[in-house]
Amino acid sequence: MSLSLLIVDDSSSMRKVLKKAVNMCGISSLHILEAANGVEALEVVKNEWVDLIFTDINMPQMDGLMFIEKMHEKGLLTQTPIIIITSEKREEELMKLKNTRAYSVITKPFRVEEIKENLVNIFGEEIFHESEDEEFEGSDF
Amino acid sequence: MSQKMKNLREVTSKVIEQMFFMNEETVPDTYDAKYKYCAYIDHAELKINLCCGNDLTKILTENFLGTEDFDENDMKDVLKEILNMIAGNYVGEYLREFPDSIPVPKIISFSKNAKSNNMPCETLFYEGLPLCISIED
Repeated sequence: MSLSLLIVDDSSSMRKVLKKAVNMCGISSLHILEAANGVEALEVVKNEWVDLIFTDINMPQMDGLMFIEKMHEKGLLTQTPIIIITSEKREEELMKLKNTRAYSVITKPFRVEEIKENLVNIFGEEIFHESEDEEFEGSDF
Repeated sequence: MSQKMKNLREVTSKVIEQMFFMNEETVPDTYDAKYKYCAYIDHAELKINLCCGNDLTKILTENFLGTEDFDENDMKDVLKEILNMIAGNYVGEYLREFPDSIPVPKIISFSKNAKSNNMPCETLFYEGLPLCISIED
């Protein structure tokens, strides 16, 4: 099974770190797309099939919440899970994010295990190669 | 040191330890407290600066991205990301009534190394290099 992932973040370093984290999870076949804000991300989801979206919230031009709302409005990839990556730590704010269409919310700093746990919950164990666990044990991002 | 500064220092230390795998060190005998980059948040209710020299910014970037293959834009981006995480953790821990979402940091770089700013600055050390943090009281 080949997975197509979209990473939406205005920070190129954060996109790189997320790509690295996902790669460290050991998915056997992976295609990663990137967008620097909600406007670019909408263009991607209009034209490409994506199995999972990671999105930041605070971004210029169109933020993550507006991107999620627009996707919903336009009926784009309505079944595709969305994981929000945020530096927000306030419980109330996190609750608001959890009440969007998001599948889950991961706060920074995060661990590779949190990413893998979400991938397992969404896609099951069969998407991974064998014995990748040791590689990322204890890795924070 | 003000309570705000103590809190900021604690949060900064935690973020850098968790995400950049570096522990704060004691003050070295000599150091050059001049900085190449300053990331800042200038919100009405939260003003934070974080300033670094070129060498420490390179180390932080390498640790974060896990590669030596990066450019100056990556370095600036990483400093903004550090400040974003510091602000998120600071607000979550000490400023829960903050009215907005976490502000996006901006960055300036100096052609010549400069002193950080006119706010009182607390200096942390990593690999013998200074990192300056300040918060408006």
